[in-house]
Amino acid sequence: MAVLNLKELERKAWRSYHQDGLLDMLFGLLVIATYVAGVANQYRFVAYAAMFALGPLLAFAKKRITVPRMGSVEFGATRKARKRHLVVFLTLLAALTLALLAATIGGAAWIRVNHVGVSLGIGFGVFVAFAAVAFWLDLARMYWVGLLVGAAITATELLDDPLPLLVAGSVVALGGLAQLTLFLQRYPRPAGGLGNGTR
Amino acid sequence: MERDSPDRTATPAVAGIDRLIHEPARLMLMATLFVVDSADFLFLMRQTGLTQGNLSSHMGKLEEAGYVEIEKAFKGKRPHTVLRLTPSGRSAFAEYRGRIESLLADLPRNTAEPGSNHSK
Repeated sequence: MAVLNLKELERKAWRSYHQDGLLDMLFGLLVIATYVAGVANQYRFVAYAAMFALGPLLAFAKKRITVPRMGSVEFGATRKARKRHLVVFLTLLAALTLALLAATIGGAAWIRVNHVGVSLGIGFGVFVAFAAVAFWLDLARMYWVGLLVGAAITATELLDDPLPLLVAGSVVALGGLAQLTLFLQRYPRPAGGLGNGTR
Repeated sequence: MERDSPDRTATPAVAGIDRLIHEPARLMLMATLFVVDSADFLFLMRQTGLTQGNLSSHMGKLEEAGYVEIEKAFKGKRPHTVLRLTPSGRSAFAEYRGRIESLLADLPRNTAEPGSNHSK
């Protein structure tokens, strides 16, 4: 055992900042929006708009919910480098997804022939995206979220029914909501200006 | 009858430990600030479990020693205090850590094993 386990201390600080459940709610709502876009043509535009709004909404919620209760912190260069690696990886993955989407729209024959394989591949790709988030952001629960959402996407493709997306999205969003409730109970907002700097 | 004499060679190493950092609350503060770039007052309260008064008092001592830089501002009407270690604070903490680790590394892992007898 190290005398002063600084790595563990840093990890504890990092994780405490991400135990508000907001990221889980974001991913859950993203999956639910995908479901809505798939089943309700009239709300498709609203669902797509909601998907783009979720990122800024997360930043806003962090600012209004997490920071006033938990305080703010600037993490070190290693965390910033890990975030950069994640962004690069997800950008590459998005580019690959777009290429596959273009091939699908273009009616590539191999996609129709290998429907099961392609469905499994899409689910696996989604899992890999979440696994990247879990690995580089050091949030182990995202492996489980990825497993659930990846399985839901594969099931949706195979069954040609978006219901698994609704189930998976709801489970993830409700899990996030439960975390948020615990977070709000554990870290009440300090009254007035108390707690952030009078001396 | 021969009596056990304390090991005098350990004394200089122990005496060299920075007592300002060695106090548990300040040690926690220094360690937390060591692993991040900067943190505000509330974040440090949450991480260390110290009260506002305690945190202020310890921060004052660390600031006086030149280990911590305190930046005060207002966010709207609320005070907002951001703290970070100064370069001398970082090196003092690194030195403290090294000393403690080398001191404790020489101790036996388990002195209270069953069957051991220290009062011969």
